[in-house]
Amino acid sequence: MGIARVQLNHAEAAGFGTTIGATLNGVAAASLILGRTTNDSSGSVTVSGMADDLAVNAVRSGAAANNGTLFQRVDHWYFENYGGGNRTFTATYSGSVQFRGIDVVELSGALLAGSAGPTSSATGTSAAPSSGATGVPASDGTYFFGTCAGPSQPAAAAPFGTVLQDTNDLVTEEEYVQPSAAALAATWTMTSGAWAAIVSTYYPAVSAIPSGRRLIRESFGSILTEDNKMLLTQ
Amino acid sequence: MIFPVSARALPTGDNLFGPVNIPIGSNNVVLTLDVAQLVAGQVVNTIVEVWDTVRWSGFFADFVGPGPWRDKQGVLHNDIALSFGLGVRNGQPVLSGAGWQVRANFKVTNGPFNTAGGTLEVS
Repeated sequence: MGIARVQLNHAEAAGFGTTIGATLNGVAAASLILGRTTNDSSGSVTVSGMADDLAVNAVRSGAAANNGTLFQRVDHWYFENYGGGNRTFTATYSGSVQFRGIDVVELSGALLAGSAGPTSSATGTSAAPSSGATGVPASDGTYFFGTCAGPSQPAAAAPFGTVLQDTNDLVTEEEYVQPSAAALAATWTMTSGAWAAIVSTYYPAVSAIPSGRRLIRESFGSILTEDNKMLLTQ
Repeated sequence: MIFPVSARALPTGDNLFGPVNIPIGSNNVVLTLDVAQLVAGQVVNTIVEVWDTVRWSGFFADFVGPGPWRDKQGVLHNDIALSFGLGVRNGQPVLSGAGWQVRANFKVTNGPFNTAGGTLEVS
C-alpha cells in the first residue's frame, strides 16, 4: 500500500488578522501531516510558522510561492512521524494580513523519517499556472501535493485531482501519486492573471514499493531495487 | 440553515453565541460579522466550535482593526468571514449527525466593539 489521504480540514478568513487555525480529530499515530498556509504578501508580512497545540513546529517544504503582483503567498509545511490524537494547528503571521487560509491533511503510508522529497514553486501571469517541475523523486509512488492561488479560481489539471478549493483567497489544491519516479510539475487552468503555485512531494513507506521490484540490498541508509534504482536516501 | 447574530456592542473579553443545533447532514460552516466599526487597536478573535457529541473542535482566526477590507477584485467589504468545513475522511465528506451543535466566541480586545451583527450559516 502507498500513501493515502485519510482526512483533511481547512479554514479561510476574509479580513485582516494575524492567526488562523483548524483542527484534525483522531489523527493516527505515525502519520504524516501536511499543511498549507496562504496570506496576502503585499507588505513585509509573512507566515512566521505553523505549529500544533503541543507546540510542535512544522517543517517548511521548500520555498514559498510569493507573487507580489497578486499579493498572495503560498507555503507548504509538514510534520512527519506525527504523534496523533485530536490536534489544533495554527498559522501565525508576522503582522496583520488578509487572504489567510490554512489546510491540514493527514496522510497514511508515508515514510517515518526523510519523508519529504523535492519541491518547486513559481509565479506568473498566464492562464496555465505551473509550479515548475520538481527534481526527480527518490521513490516510486511519491505523493505530489500542489497549491495554486490566483485572481480567479484555478482548476486542477490532469493527472492531478482536486483536493479542495478555498473561495475567498481563490486557492485550489491538488494531489497525485506518481507510479514511477520522475520529475513532475503541478499545473492548473484558470483565467489569466497573476498567480502563485507550489508543489511538494512526500515518499511512501518502504512497504509501498510496487510489487515486482524486489529489494536486493540495504546498506548505509539506502535501499536499492534489483534494477539498482535508489529509492531512499537518509 | 442561517442563524442571525444580532447587532450588539461586544465588550472586552469573551462574548458567546450559541450553541445552536446543526442540521443533520451539514458539512460547511460560514460565520460573517460586520466590522465596519472595528477600529485600529481593536481585535476580535473569532472561535467557532462544533460539538460532535464527543468533543468541541475549533476553528479560529483573529480580525484586526480597522475593519473594512478589499477583496482581490478591489471591492470594499464591511463583513469579515470565517469559513471552514467539517472535513473529509477517507474520501467522504464528514456530515453532521444527530445532536451536533455549533457555537461561536467573539473574544474582543480593547472593546467595546460595535457590530451590526452577522450570520452563522450551516449547510
